[in-house]
Amino acid sequence: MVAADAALSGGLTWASLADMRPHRLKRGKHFRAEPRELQAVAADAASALDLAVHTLRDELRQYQYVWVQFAEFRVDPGAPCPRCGALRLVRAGGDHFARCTGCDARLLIVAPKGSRAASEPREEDGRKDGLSNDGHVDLLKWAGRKRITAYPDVKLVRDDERSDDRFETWYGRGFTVQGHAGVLEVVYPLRDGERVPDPDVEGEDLHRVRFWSIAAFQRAMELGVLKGWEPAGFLNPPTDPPAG
Amino acid sequence: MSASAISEPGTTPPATVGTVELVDDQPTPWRMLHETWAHRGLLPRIGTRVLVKGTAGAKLGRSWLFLRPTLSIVGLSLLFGAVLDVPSHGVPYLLFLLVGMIGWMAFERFLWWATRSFDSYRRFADNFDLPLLLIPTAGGCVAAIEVGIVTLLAGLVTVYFGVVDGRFYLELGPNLLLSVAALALAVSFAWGLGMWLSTLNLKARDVRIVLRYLFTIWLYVTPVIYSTEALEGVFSLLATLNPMAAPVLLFKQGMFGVGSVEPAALAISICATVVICLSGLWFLTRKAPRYLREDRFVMEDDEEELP
Repeated sequence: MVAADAALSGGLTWASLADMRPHRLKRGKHFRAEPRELQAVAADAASALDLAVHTLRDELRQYQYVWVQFAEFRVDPGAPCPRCGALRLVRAGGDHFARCTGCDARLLIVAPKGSRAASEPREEDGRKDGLSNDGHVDLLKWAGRKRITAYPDVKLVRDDERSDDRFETWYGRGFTVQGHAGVLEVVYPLRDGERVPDPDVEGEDLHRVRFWSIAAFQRAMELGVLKGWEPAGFLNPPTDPPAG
Repeated sequence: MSASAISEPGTTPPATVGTVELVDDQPTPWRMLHETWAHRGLLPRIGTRVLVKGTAGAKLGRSWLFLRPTLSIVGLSLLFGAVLDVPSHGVPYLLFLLVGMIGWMAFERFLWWATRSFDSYRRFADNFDLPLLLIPTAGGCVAAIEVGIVTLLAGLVTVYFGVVDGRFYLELGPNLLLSVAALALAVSFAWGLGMWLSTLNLKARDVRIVLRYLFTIWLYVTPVIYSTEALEGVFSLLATLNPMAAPVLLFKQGMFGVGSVEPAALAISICATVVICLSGLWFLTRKAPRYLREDRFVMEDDEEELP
């Protein structure tokens, strides 16, 4: 269940639509908002589910539809499979979708709007730590819309070395809704030593989730390319946590 | 590598050696069929879209769905029934024509919408990951609605003649299975031919223009508006070789219990259907992805006209 589910009606959830097939949503039956708004909500839901989504408005007189199709990963044009690094992709659905010949991942090919990842705090947005002067709006931006509840079967361990009075960090493992295993990092910003309530999800605390699929690591291990590899900083990576 | 340098899912890995190759999907015909079946729930959602567009802006709206076949059939009935007095196995000509038109339209309407399908539904093929066979097959949904309307008309006319003549002309019994088999044969033939023509129409829109005129000729060489009793010599041979003759005659036989189908004509029809379906499936899976990518000048129809 993700926060964006509230935009859907008729018992639909975004997770149920994330079966990698196209779905047609009809205004009045499956959603009530403006089609453009639903497209934005679909993007949020994809982010929360750690997926990518392609949407298309289809307006025929009084009938308004939004077509949605989820993919497992979003890739830039000309980029390899993010899961296994395969270089041979099969075009499926015009120029928007592709499938990996290595691991059969469903890919959404989208040219990036900006060169920086949305989850990285930007200096021009406020302070470099992700907080603006009022400390709230950019914290939401920093946290992103992914929620740890979107990952089933999660096991997390608190990292005391990387936790202090400004944040607490957890590491663990879990699965995506598609069943892909990966490693998780969850960071809770703190205010006065307490977690910050999430304004979008009642009863939950604001946090940032990052997920790394282990498929590529596993394959690299199998190929032996990581044997004896200890690059500088590997065991003690730098971190850039938010101030609370 | 630092943790912050590892790419998140949904972004590109930071370093890869080699060039990414994006190739066309060329599924096996079996996989194409399997995937189309798995996506069958989308057929009515895609297929009925042209009905909404087709009646948009018309004052009579969806009434045209009833009016168009009614006017067409009344016109044919007046010409061939009242003026030319074409024999009809003792069945009122209007009813004879309506029943023949059901068998014919199951083929003609399906093939028409299937051929135009990549024009009508191109945005879905361009935007979503779905099996391409779904696109021409979706044309069958509109055809099903149109054939349903003619069937309803036939039902009303049957009741009318039942009241006026005191006789129920349709033979309701096990022979109706012949009509079902005939419809299945006509639809399968249209589906297979639709795979060919929808793909060719991507390359050259002349296909659908030629098809419009071809249908008129094909209707007259198929025993829809007349019975085979009226045929002699070369025309009789033509009715045997025409793959649509057997389904139409078989449909009438099933409904009225009169007339017969030559085994040779039926065999030709079945063989033609099998060959067209298999080769059409092969042709669509091999050529349609490339034609879709190459011929971007073929844009989706802005407004569908009522054909």
